[in-house]
Amino acid sequence: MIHRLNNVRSDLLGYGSLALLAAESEELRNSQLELSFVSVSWFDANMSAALAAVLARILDRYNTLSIVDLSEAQRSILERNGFMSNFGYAAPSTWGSTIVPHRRFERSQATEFYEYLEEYLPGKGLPEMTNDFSLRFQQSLGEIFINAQIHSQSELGVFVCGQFFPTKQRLDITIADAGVGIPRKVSERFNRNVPAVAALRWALVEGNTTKQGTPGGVGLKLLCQFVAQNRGKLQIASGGAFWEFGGGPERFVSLSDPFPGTAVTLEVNTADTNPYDSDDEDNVRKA
Amino acid sequence: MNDVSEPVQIRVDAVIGGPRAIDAADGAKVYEEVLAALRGGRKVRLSFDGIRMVITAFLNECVGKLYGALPSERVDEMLEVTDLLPAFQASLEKSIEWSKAYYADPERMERALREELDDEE
Repeated sequence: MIHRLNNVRSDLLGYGSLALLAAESEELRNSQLELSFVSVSWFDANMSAALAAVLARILDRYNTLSIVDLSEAQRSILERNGFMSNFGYAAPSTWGSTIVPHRRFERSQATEFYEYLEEYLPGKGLPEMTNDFSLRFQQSLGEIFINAQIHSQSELGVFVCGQFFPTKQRLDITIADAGVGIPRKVSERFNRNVPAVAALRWALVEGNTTKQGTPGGVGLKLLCQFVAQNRGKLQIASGGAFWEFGGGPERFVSLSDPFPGTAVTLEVNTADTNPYDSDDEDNVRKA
Repeated sequence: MNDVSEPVQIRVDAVIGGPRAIDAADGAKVYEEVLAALRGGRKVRLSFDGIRMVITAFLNECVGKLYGALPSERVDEMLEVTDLLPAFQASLEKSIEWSKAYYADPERMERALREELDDEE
């Protein structure tokens, strides 16, 4: 089959575009997918992590994939960040100063994920942070990774990619998995069919967890407070639900087609020159 | 001879074999050691010396679960966590708070979900 991808920005429509690809190829097995970029005029490089999660599921059903109709600029972007090396292209020998490389991590590679953050985040426009705040910031990104690792129930891995857009003054980082998604985990946890948005809303309350018989919960409080101060954004697409915090009122939206897994995007406003610190209660403040 | 009035020191880095406490399975190993000592009537000094990254899932496993195995007051009295970088102190406090709440009222999360669904209707 041929699927014409629509524009993929780090927003509701971008996730909708990827969810449509997943929905239209859902029945494809032992076959071939031709993914056409002919209708794509913009693709946020960091969203290659979310695209990779969608494609991982498709390829896991013994399909083959060819990516066609890429403009030279699109091909260059997706080659330079390492995404295309998954599809027969050579991996770049060096990474540009704006790239947080596309990487697939095994579930057991949490240590490698932290090494990746330490190697590639510096110099990408992050605001100045105290050492304590920097540790908490990295901890929060790691919590997202570990959550994907623990809860996705998928062996397909965790996909990560980031992009610093100097002219737009933003740094976007996406962490995605091809797992069961938060809404389904919540439904399974309580043995009832929980609507996707209600499930995501519940899961984002501090201290709530789908783990049974053991306490849990991963707070997004620090990242939310950072985003509020920084005027950045935090987004989650999971199953049939999308959540966005920052850049306006918090919003939960139903996706027309479910995103096949969970993807989290953090957008940092790199024009922010304020240094960041936090207190013992995890309240973020400008130092 | 060991002085049983002195706390047993358990070094997290020695149990997990590295400087990052980021794996829940590693947290479970620490939990087993701490629980065994507490059940033996010994106080425990759990040292994070040498640990430079800690995630909540690890703390939930190694400290939080203790509140399900023993009375809260006993854990608070017998366990001392030391050498944790100040950056991660808030995570430890949250983990303990959530764990106490979880074991005190395991149905709370389901109730919260029902309320969420009621609000949607």
